[in-house]
Amino acid sequence: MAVYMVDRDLPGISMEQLADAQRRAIDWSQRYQREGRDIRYIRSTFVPGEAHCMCLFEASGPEVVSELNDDAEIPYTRVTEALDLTPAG
Amino acid sequence: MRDALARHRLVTITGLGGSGKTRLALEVAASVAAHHRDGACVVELASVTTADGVADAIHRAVLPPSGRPGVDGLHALTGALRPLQLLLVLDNCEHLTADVSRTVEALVGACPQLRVLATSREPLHVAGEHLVRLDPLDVDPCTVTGPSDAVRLFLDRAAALCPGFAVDRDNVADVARICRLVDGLPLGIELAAARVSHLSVREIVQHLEEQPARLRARRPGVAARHQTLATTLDWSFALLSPVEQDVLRRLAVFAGGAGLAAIAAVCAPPGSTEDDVLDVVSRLVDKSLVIADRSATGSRYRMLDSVRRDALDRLHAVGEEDEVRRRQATWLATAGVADVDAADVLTSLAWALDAGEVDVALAVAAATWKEWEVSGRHAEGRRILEQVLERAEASPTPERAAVLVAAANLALAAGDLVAARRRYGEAVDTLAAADRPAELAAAQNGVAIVALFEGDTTAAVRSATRSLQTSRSVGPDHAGVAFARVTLGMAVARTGEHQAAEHHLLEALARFRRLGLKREAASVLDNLGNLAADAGDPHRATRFYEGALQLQRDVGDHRGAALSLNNLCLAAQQLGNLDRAWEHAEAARAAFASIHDRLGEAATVNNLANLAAERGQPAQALELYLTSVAAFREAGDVRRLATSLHNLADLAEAVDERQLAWDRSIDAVSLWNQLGEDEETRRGLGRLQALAGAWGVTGWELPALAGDGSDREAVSHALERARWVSVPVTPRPPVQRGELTPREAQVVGLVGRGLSNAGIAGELFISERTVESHIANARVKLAIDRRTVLARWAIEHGLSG
Repeated sequence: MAVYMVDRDLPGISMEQLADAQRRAIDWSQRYQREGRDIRYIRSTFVPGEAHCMCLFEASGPEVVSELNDDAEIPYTRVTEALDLTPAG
Repeated sequence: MRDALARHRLVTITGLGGSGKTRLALEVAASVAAHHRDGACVVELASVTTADGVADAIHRAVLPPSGRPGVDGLHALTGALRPLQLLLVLDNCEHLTADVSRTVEALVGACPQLRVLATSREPLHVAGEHLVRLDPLDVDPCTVTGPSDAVRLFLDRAAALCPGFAVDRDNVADVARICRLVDGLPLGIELAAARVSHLSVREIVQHLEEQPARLRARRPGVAARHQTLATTLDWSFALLSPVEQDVLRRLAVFAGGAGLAAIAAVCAPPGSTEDDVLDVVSRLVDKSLVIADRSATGSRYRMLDSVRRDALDRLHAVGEEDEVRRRQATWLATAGVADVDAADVLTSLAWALDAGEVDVALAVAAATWKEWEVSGRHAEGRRILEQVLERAEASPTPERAAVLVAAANLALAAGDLVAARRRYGEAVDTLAAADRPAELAAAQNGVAIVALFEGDTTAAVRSATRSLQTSRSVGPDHAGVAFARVTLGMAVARTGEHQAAEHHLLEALARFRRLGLKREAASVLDNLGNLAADAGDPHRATRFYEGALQLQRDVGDHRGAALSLNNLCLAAQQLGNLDRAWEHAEAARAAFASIHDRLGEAATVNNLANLAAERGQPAQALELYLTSVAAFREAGDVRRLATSLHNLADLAEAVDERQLAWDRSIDAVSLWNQLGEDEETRRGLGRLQALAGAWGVTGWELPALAGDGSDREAVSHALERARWVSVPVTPRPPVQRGELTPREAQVVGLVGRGLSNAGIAGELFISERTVESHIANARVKLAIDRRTVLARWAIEHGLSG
């Protein structure tokens, strides 16, 4: 499965709202998995100075990533393929 | 037929109804489509009833919805078709021959690469028309090469429906008799053959023999030459069950065919399900009276034009037409634009207005107007909606107000701000009084958009804010909230409040996403991208444009995708990533080409030329500028032509192609002067003066001739004088014929002999694309941008002898 990055522009968002959005991303990922769909939430990075948030998902294609974010009602601007270069261990 | 089409630009297939004109035209079109760069396009004219409708129908068929520029009428159609190398198939022209003739004459005259194949019972009588008469089939049972065409057709159709059916010694005489009784008319033979599963060949003969007398008694007005077809249709109809007869008769109101849901609602007995209808329609298909067009989105059912006209006569004769048309209008009003043929909407509205059913007309117009906006046929839509509004003048009802908003939206799309403001204003008054917040919010937002276009930012913010408040009163998730925020965002952006603008647009984006309105979400992302680009942040702009592109590709919006790719190209250029910019521009060019948008393609080629120049590839840049200049000139876009000429001149100056720089600078200034662009004209004149000074041009004094550039006639005079000035050239080795490859020299020689690209392609047995490429190479090598100058060069250098 490939890794996809979801870009979000969230001016004025509070930390509570950000945490809530992350929780919804996780909940919906699990719900999708229960339905047998190939998608997994990985992690998010938020840049406060730019109100820019990048969330990584592992999924079978960009469509399912868009669909999940639409269902979870988390605003986003773009879904693009990415590489997750976290060192092992 | 193929030969006739190769030699003549207008070929008309004539023949009686049912003689197979349509089928022949479609087969010919399919077989020669690949020889036309832009393929073949079939335009069904049976459902068109007005003179304007002919151009509209062609427009609709040739240009895909997302690719259509907002143009209407014959003049605009001519402009859109001029660059295309296309075969236009106009099917069923007989009821509008005078209108079709006028349209075809104008198109063939103005579009040099267009060919027309028409089918009509009568010739079109246009100069240069080549007629192919389709005679009925030979009705003898056998020819020296086997069964006659008529018998073979009967056998094919019968065997398709009744496997194992064969013509043998026992029945061949009867089959031949059937063919004779229907006068060798292919449709008659098909309808008769469709009966072999239930009747013996002998029984079919007996039925047909009794038929003419019955027909004469029932329908005395049928002209003698159409009697055979009428007889056959009468006989086919008489053999249908009552419910099949009902459905067939009523289906005739759908000129463009219909899906099962429409047939169930309009044609079937009350309470019928789609399954019941499928059963009846399938039996009509088996009997060759109805044709099924199957596609991934569901089947549609239609009739051959001859059969439909006959069915419509029957509907009228039994006094059912008004009732069925009312049912059709009611269905259109509930179904909206999905599954609706545009011609049927027009027919239905015309019927409702004729019948005085103004409420029905309002309901149909309110439910279907979007089709005119999406398809770009704004003038047609506005004409009809204004007629409906005029008839409903006395009733300030919410239903009328909905049509007011529709008319205003179309006026806005057509750029008529005055009409848009008036209609939105009327709608606001009516809807506020009627307590209809959802529609009121849309009208208020319309008022705001008009104010924005008129440059009145304060009024735009005021109306958009009202629209936002009204939408919120409908419900927190109402789409109107998002639409109002988009307008508000655009308005506050004008005042320099970028952050506030972005906030409104991001809110709108999130809401459109929630509501599944992807097209709208994409448009917001494009606006966000433009905002970021204006703020000097091409990185962010890229993210937004890429988001827009994903959605546009998702919904198949090719035009939107092409525009986003263009934006991505500009952002990449801003970031200094020229390779990336090049990739985006190439993709944009391909996207514009896929929807036959030559103007969009030309603009992208101009961008590619800018990029090539920036990448230090002047030869390629020159070639691309020449292509874009030619394309803008062909499409008649004077403003962009001037810009492209200016860019070309810039580059020519940079690479010291002085004559080219001088000539194209004059061309650009001349166009700006014609357009009344004083600022650009002055700047262009200044540039000419600077060039003249730098190169020591003598005999041309700008200030004395053109003054300060504000007197258009004086400028024009100065430019004419400039054309006669000789520009001192940079000393360099003269261009030799030897620098052209042998093939290029050969092609240029043929240009000198006055051959077109198609003519050269034919002469040398190469493709037109290859010819274009040789000419482009030669032009760059010789620094000649005009074909006439190239031709003169070829003659002077002995290539055209």
